[in-house]
Amino acid sequence: MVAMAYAGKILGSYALTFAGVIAYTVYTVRKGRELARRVSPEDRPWT
Amino acid sequence: MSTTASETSTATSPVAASRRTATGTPFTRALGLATIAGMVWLAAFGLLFSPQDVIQGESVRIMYVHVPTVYLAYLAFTVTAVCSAGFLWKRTRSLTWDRFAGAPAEIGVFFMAIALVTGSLWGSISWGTYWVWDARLTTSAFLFITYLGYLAVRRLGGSHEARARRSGILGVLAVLEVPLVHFSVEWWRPLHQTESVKTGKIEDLMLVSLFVGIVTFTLFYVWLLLHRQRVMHMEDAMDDRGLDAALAERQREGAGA
Amino acid sequence: MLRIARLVAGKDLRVEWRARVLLSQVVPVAGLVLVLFAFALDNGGVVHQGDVREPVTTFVAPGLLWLATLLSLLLLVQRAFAVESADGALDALRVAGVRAEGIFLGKAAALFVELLMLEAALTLGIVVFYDTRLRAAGLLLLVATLLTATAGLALVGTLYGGLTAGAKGRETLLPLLVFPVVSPVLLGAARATEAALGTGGAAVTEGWPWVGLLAVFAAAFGVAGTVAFGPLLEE
Repeated sequence: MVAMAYAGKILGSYALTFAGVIAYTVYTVRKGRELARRVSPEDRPWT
Repeated sequence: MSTTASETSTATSPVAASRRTATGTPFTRALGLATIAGMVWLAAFGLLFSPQDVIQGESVRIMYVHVPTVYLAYLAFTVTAVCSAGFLWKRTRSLTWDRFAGAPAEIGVFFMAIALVTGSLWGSISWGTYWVWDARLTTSAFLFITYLGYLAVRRLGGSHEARARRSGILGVLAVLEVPLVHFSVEWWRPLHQTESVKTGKIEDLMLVSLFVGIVTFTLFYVWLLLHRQRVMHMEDAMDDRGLDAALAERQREGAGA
Repeated sequence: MLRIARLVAGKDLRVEWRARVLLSQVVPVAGLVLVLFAFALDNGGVVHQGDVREPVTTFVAPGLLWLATLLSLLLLVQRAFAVESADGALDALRVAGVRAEGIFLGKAAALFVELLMLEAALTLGIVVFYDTRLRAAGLLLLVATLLTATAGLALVGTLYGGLTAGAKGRETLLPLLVFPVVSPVLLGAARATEAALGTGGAAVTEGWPWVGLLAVFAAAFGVAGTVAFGPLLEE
């Protein structure tokens, strides 16, 4: 695995994909929390 | 001492409450946990357990993240088209359809961008070049640009209704555009890249890894869609109420100055 | 509906004719683009394809003709809708109860005529600048290509022009929306024109399937635009 051919490109792909997943998740959750603080509960019908 | 403690607790408790109930529900929390578990499995299968491909060697490992991301983007764009139609159809017209059209467009654009990068990295290994003018690649690139434009149209401003109508029409038009682009490129460059899943001998463990990837990214997609849609719901609500508040603020500022 | 379309088209063309912007600005800019393409691409190279030898610019002339048309399309679409949204003319038409389908087809027809005039000038341009020769055998194909491709461009341009009309930042938004959609037209029209002119030894028969694609494209967006323009304008 360490001596994997093209390790840079392969691991880079995994890193990019997972970093993207994490970044998008964090962004969405944060934005949700920030807005939830300012929006009244009746505007959040799912709670 | 005790007063400060009670003060801080009363100060933080509403915040804490809003955190717990921000955009999450028990259902999305369960989904989120399943997604995290799936991602770990995917990394383990893709990088460690699954064997090298007979033809592609190690580079086949990119497939386990690339194919699920592409699939997720296409799934998202399909949902956008369906929900756009749902909004435009007069009997079912509601802004909920519009938000369920907008949220996946954003998700699709994001993951299409990642997929284009991982795909060209994969291509650089297995074809020796980052890009070929193959119908599938070209259509994906055009989809990316098209939905970038779609998102720009959503940000144009105006009433929520106007936004929903404009973007709804765009979302449906994209369905017309995609096959036209696809077939014209196919005619232009009839050489077809063989799909590895169809031609190459695929080992059981490779299939399992791919399957884990697809399932995980589907779960993640549903999680993202629900959360993103709720964020948009709150943004719209803020817009509606914010307008009145901003006006009041202006008047107060005017009176002060 | 067709009567309205004719009236709207006539009005647009009259406005355009009085302003003389097409003749005095858009056509010169498109011609200038052809010259700039030559600056960018003509490195003195010669393309060999089969037993045909052609200078680079002659070889790429059909593609450049359509690329220049595509760039001019943006200018013309923006003009066509700037006229309308400037004094709320579109709103006035709608309030007056004019059918949106008629407005759409009329504006597309006016754009179609303007584009054809521009393309005629550009065709002359590639003959003069790029040493392209028209051949009698390909003349019918060339005319068919010009008509079908231009119809597609005009319909898409009008539809997306209406979509972005009056919005802030539409100058940059329009190409982002329109270019991906019209890419099959660029592809098909360039290949068909190559066949019509015999660029790189292409045979005339190679062009007709592309004209078919262009016709399908125009028909699809003609129907889509007619249906979509109404909801687009309603407030």
